[in-house]
Amino acid sequence: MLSRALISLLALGWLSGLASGQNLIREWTGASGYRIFETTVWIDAPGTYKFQATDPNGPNGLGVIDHILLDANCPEGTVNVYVLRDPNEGGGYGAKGVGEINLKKTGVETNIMDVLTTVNLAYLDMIQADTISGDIGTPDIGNDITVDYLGAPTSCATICTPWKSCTAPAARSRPASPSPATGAMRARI
Amino acid sequence: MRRLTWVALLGALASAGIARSETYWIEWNGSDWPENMDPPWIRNWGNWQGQYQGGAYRTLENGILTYDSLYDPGVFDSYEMHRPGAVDPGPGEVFLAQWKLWTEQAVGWYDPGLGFQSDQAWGVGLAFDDTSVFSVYEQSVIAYIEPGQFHEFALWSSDMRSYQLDVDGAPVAEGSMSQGISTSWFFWGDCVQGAASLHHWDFARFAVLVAPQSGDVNCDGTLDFADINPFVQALSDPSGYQDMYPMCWPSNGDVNEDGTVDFGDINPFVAALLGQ
Repeated sequence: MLSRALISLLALGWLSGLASGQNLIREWTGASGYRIFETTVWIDAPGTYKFQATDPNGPNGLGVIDHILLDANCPEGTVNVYVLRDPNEGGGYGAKGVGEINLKKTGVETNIMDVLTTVNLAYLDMIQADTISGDIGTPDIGNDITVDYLGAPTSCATICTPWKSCTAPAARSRPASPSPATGAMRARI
Repeated sequence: MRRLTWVALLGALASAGIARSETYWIEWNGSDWPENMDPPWIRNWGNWQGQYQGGAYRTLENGILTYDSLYDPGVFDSYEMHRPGAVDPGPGEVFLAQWKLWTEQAVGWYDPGLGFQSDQAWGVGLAFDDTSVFSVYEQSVIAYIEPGQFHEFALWSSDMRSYQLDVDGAPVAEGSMSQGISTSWFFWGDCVQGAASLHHWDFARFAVLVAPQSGDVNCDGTLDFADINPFVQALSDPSGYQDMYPMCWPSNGDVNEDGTVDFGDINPFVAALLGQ
């Protein structure tokens, strides 16, 4: 049986062979308050951001986002992040892969909404935010996904892979109670 | 300090065999637009709305490429080159990036930028403003620079994991490369969406070179009799020597390691040549 590390390496290798400078990351709602340097995105201000990565040489015309990061100077507020394709371009999967999402910062409530990638997720580092409230869709998860609250019908089973074990979430109180379907929980998936 | 750096590098490579000698395989030198060079650089440009929209105002005058994106922070307009499998140095070689840049004004964040990723996807991304250099993937300012003028930068690495940055010939920072997903490519220009700048490029080039070796003034990887005539030329006609061996490390002729190539290097050169 292939080890998780080897599988991740193979996935990385396949991805890396396809990634190119024609990779274009775009926020398609017209929001401002973010920066992009090649395949890295920084979010500078509270708001809702919907990113996509396209590459004419990539499968289905999709590209990669290596990092989505919350800037250390981001003011207090709420940040919602999506990775989806612009509906005007057909909608659906927003990227081939997303390497890392790190939205943890005191005073900023961060929420990962729908993140749909065709190949993998977290191939460079963890996914970290306060909440996941949307659909995480990917064939492969490379690193841990760590959130304080799993607030959507995104079950552990759907985002775990055969080589990735799941730990039982620990109960944690929260002022605003999430939906009964998912409960308030700290999930380390 | 620079001498210590070279000595350390030489020491690190002392046991490595010389693999090959290469000239710069990637260069933009100001003689034409980058997209017109052979091989051509790929221009990647656009703005918030997508690729091939907007772009920076560009001029090329007297060999200087000027970008002005101050009218729109959403603009990106950069050049890139892909060299699958050819970026990483082999044993006895050093990867080198050199560029000359003046960031006259930057608004919003650091802009412009330059970077590369190795054959194994380890990379460096640098962004600039008028007074500093920011390491994008390390999330830190790594050097401060004098505003209002061109600066010549050099970044080199022998292992494509760590690197040293020099500014105007002096080492200013050491850093670690970060792993990404793209491989074997270089980029430079107005790289950042979300920041605007007015900046000027004199040249940008990327190379794999034979590692510096004391006395190897023709830079063929060995110290032998073929270095005698170049050594004489380095002493008697330094500019002619540089024209003849533009890919050579200047420090190779400084055999006595006093910081200059002069008559004081003759005896040590002869001794090294004779294996004494």
